[in-house]
Formats: sequence, C-alpha cells, structure tokens
Amino acid sequence: MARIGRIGRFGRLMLLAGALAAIAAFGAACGDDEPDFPTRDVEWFVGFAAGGGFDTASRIIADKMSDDLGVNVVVRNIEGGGGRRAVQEIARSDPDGHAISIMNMPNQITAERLDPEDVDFNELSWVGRAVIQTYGLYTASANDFNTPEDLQGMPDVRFCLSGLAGHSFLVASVTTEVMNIAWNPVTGYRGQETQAGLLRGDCELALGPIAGTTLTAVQGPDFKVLWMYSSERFGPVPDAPTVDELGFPELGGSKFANNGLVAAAPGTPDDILAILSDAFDAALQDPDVIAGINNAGMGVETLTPDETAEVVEGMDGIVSEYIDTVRQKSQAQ
Amino acid sequence: MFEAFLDGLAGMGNPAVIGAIVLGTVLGVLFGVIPGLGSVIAMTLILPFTFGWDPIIAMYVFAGIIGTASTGGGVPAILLNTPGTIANVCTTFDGFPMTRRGEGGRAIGLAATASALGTLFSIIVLAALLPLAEVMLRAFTPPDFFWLIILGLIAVTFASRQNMAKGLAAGGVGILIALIGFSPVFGVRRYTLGSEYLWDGIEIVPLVIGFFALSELIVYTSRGGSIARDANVNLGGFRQIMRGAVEVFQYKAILLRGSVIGTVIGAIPGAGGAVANFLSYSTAKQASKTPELFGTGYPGGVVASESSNDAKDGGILLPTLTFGIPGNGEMVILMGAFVLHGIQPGRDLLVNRLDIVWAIILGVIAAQVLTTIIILGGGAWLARISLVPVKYIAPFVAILSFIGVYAVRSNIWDVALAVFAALVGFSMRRAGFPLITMVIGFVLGQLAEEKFTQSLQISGGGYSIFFTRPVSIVLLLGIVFMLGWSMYKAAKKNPAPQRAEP
Repeated sequence: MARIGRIGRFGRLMLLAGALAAIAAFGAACGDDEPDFPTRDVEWFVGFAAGGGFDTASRIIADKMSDDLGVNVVVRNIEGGGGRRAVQEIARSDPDGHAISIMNMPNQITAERLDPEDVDFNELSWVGRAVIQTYGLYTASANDFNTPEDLQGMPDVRFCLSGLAGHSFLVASVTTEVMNIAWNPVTGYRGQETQAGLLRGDCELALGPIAGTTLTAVQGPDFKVLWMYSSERFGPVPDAPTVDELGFPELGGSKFANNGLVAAAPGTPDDILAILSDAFDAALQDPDVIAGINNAGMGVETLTPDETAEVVEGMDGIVSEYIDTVRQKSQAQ
Repeated sequence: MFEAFLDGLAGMGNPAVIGAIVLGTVLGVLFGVIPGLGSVIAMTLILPFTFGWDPIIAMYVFAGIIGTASTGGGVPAILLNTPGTIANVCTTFDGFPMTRRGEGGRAIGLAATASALGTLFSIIVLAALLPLAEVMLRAFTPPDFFWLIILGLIAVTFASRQNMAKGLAAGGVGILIALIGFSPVFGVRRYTLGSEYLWDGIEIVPLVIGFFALSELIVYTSRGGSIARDANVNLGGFRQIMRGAVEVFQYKAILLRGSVIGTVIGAIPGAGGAVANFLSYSTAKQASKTPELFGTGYPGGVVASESSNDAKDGGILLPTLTFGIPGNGEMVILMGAFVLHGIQPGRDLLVNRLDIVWAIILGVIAAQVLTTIIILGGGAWLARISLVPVKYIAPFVAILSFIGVYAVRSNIWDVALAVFAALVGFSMRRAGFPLITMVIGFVLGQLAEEKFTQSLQISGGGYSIFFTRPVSIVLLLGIVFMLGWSMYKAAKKNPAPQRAEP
C-alpha cells in the first residue's frame, strides 16, 4: 500500500504540474504581447557628482519619466573614474530594464580604449540621447590668429586641456592631425582656470563645450571662438564659423560634441527597451524639461534607440581611427 | 564686488542664513571651550552633513565656526588655566591670575571684546585686498604656483615646531597619498591595487575625520577623566564683565599691534594662530613701559593674546580663497568643503562665486558678534563643559564622526578608511609626526604635481622656466632663506663637537 501511495502522490503532482503548464501556455497564447515592465522602481545611474550638468539633466528627465512609467525613476550617483564606474555598473546589470545610465560619449569610448575594462559600447542597449553640448575652439582676443591657416604657420601651438585621457584631448589630437597643426598639450586646466591660462599665455588655444561660464566668457571681450565643431552655426555664438565652412566636414556633425547618451544593460529585450525609450522621448518633448536642460547650459536633440546605436558606432570608429595618435601623444608627455 | 557685498548683506536676513550662523557659532563656541577639540574638529564633524545643502548656507556654518572657536577657547584659558585652543595659550598668562584675584569676569570682557575687534580688523583688511586678488592670480604662472606650494609646505613644517625631518617626511607621505587613484592628467591609475574604491583616490572627508577627530578621541579616552580638572571658577559678576569690555579701549596700541600681527602672520601658510598669539604677546611685553606686569594678571596681556589669535582669521583666508593654498587645519577643512560643494578656489571663486566669498566674510563677522554676546552673557557656565567626563563626550563625537563619514557617499569603505586614518593618526602623534603637515601635503600634493607638469609642458620640457620668472625667483629665495635660517638655528642650538687635540 505504501508503494502504491507514493506512486499516487507522484502521479497527482505530475497531473498538477501538467495542468499548471497548460494554464500558463493558454494564458500566454490568449494574452497580449505587453511585457510586465516596470515591476519596480527604475534606477538611473549618473557617473558624476550630484549637482553637475549631467546630474541635473538626469534628475529633470527622470522626474518626468516617473509620471509616464508609473514607477519612480531614481537617480543614483555612482561616482568614480570620470564616469567609468557607472558605465561598468550598467554593463553588468540584469537586462530587465530596471537600470539605465547616462554616459558622456565619446569620452567613455576613449577612456575604455586607453585603459580597457572590457566594456563593449556597441553591446549596450541604447535608449536615446539626453543632452548635447557643442564643442568649440577658442582663444584670447589679444591673439592675432583666426584661421587654421594661421595656426599651421605656428611652431607647436599649446592647448590648455584638462588631461591626457579626456575627450578634449581626443578632439585636439584629431583636429591638429586633420588640419596639420603642430601642437602640444598643457594639462590640468578646468573651468575658469582654462581662461586664466589663456589670458596669462600658458597656452594659445582651449577647446570644450561652449556652455555655462565658458559661453559667458566667449561672449565677452576677452575671448573669441575660432570655430565650432558642428555643421550648422551655433546660435549663441553666431559669428563663429563651423568646421564644415572651414573645409573640414569630417570634424562636423555631432560626433565631437559632448553627448549625454542613455543606455540599458546589454541584452535588454526590445519590447522593454521600447517602453523605456517612449517614456524617455516623451519626457524630452516636454517644454519644462527642455527649458530645464537649456538653463543648465545644454541642448536637447533627441535620437531614437537605433539612431543612438549608429551614433555610438560612428564614435567608436573615429576613436579607433585616432586612438594611436592619442596614445602616442599621451606617451610623449 | 560691491554688488556682491550688498547681495550678501541682504541675504543675511534669510532665516536659513541666520540659522546657519547660529549653528556655526554655537558649534564653534562649544568646541572652542572644550580644550583640545577646537574649530578643526567642529568643522570636520559638520562637513559631511552639509553635503546637499545650498553651498552659501554651508559656508555660513563654516564661517561661524572659524570666527568663534578661538574666542570660545579664551574662556577656559581665563577661568580654568586650560587654553581651549593652542592659540589661547598666552591668555592663561594674565587671564588666570585675574581669575584668582576674583576678576575672571573682567578678563572675559576684555578677551571677548579684543577678539571681536581683532577679527573685524583682519576681515576689513581681507575685504580691501580682495579686488587685488585677481591681479595676483594673473601674475602667478604655474612655476610661481609650484614654488608657492613648496614654500607653503616648508613653512608649515617649520611652524609645527616638531622635528623638521619628521615634518618633511609627514608632508612627503601626504603628497604620496594624494597620488593614489586615477590621474586625469596622465590617464593612468596609480597605487589603486586593482581596487575600484581607490580609483578616485583617497577621499578627504574620511581622512580628516579619522586623523583629527577620531585620533584625538583615542588620546582622550586613553587618558580618561575630564578634560579640565580645576572647577574653581570665580567670575565676579556681570558688571565686571562689562567693565572689561569697555576697558579694552584703554589698550589701543596693544589691540592694534595684536590685530596687525594676527592678520600678517595668518596670511603666512602654517604660521597660524599660535605663532601670532606668542608673537603678539611677546611684542606687547617688549614694547611696554611696565613689562614686569605681564604674567601677573595684566589686562593688556589678555588684549594682546586675544586680539591676535582672532585677527589671524582674515589673513589666513587670503591664500585659501585666492590660491587654494590652506595655511592651517581649519583651511584644510574649508578646502574639503569647497570640493564637496563643487567650488574651485582661485579665479572661479573670485570672479563667479563672490557670493561664497562674501558669505564667508560676513559669516565670520556676524558669528564674532554673536560669540561676543554669548561669552559676555554665559562664559562661566560654558567653562563648566570642560568638566564633563570624557567617557560622555567621546561616544557622542565618535557616533557623529561615523554618521558623517557614511552620509557623504553612503559607502561603508569610507567608514573603514576613517578608522584606519584614526589609527595611523594616533600612531603618528605618538611617534611625533605632525598630522597637519601630512594633511596639507595631501591637499597640496596633487596641485604641486599639476603645476610642475604644467610648467614643463609650457616650456616644452625646459627646467629653466622654474628659475627665470621674477615671482619664482623671489619665492625660491624665500625657500632658501627659510632652509638656511633653520639650519643656522639648528647649528647654533647644537654646535658641532670640537675635535680633541691629539
């Protein structure tokens, strides 16, 4: 009896499991295709300190996305390594869409190439572009050079830069190679110190996003913008020519801008990515969100997930093309 | 400049600003009154809690502490013969004899008013010099900056009045600690041992809390008992206090001399309140027609001491705000606060964040006025705080320290770092290595490296850039003079043994 009883219990368990499987299969066949997302709060990683430009933009967008997604989109600052810790965190997150991260691109690609940490940016699931800051090259007004030709005739033009691993260093390396300008970096200049360096004559040129205090400075009498890294004239500095106008379209577009791109973990399902992307896009259509980002010195030019992935691929190509130049110049210092 | 001043003045009506000044003042007075704690520990403990605050409000709190601790420190010096801070030592020479004569209240009145007037003098000097700060910044190129940092480090080492070799060694270790982490200049990681925690280097908040607050607690706890042991407080009544407050003006020359000495000495990195205190007292004694009265309960001695130790506040802020070079522990913590709130000393601060500069200046003045009122009204009561047993104070300070360290980044490793820094700090104290030199080395290390690299990049690799600019040459001569003077003094103190005749 005992033996028959055990078989009976096993049989009943099998029957129950079969019934549950059938119900689940029926449910799946009859239900719609909407994924069960989000099931909890979504975390938005920022690789920089609270209060900075990317952090401010992230909080503005996340707040609006919360309304759309019906859960909180919580900004979490994961500082470290110039934003690289947040990149690593998103690269190893579960691909369920409950974590996304903003990252400064193509700066992160350059950093990864110079000091590899096994992050493949083409594998990340891109949501879109949050912000963009257009780069420009500027100098002290007292200097009498204005065009690439003027600079070509000078021995070793000095650029005031933050360091040898940043985006500005890459842009300076590419610019001088494409324009055939002899140059040297002078590093350790951030914020206002860059402008002080130009005025003191520590260096002849500086480049960076023309936004915030830099925009205020170049609109004043002490500095002038030689060109903008864009294909269209930059509204706040309308007199500055674009690199396209100067005959260097390969430096134009937005590939040398400082892009705040947002990604989810690699392998995030398309349907979940679509929900995130729709909420993200809707937030960036909101006039209050746009005004908030503009007030923080950044612009809004939205991209779809596919367009974002293409932009990243393009950045990856450019960085790959010039990384040896960057490395050589860096090692020469 | 003037507009920012008026904005700052108008902002002082804001209840949050008033609250910040009151908080800073109360903390400064309390930590100043408790001997050994002082302003550095007060600022260290409150630093992490200001994270996320409006930077202006945070600066008013710090200004409140800077402006008050040494004033508060005068109270136990007068009433208990125990200086609250090292800059109050000379106050005991005449303050305590006055207390024994039953004139403690008179001495407190003298000290509080002299402190307030000294602070006011130095802050006016600072405000007058600020418009010239940008010109100074333009004149200082990277090689000049490099020599200024080296001069500052050497000055701090000398001022520590401990073994010079140990001071320089501690400063060197501080510079090495500053090199830990990812170098944005070179794009490489240094001494990170593969740890993600060390990627961004050593955080200043856990380091200074461990070094200053927690290691001090270990010292106190191992000693036991209460901080001050003498409870015989003789104040002599409110009328006496007010008599002292008015009497200050009978010692105008001493007051002015003390204020000038405090301001000038304060501006020299490393010199600080203690040096100003001794120099002012000894100068007043030398210039006096009745030097024999000094040390016997002479009111002029209290004025000389207390006017100078508070007048250093204006002077010491000048190199910190203008060049980002902190001259003492208070300024190191203020630099930490700048980092925490994304404020860059130098041109950025002087051009774009004048509101911060004025918040500090106005905060120091307001706090000084408030402190004077608090001390004139309740000095004797405050002095009794030093009689509270250490076993009650220590856990309170320790818990505040750990909460504060964790609050900044919610990283438990920061707490571990603070504990490690406390143990290292305690060992260094025992071995006679000056902590302040190490922390200033840590703060200035990265800046020194940056300016050194910049100089070579500007010159295209030529070292002559360090020796050809006029400002660099002046600074270099200052360094040579300082080293030469110290060697001369050492040789005079320990003459070489004469060779024995064969």
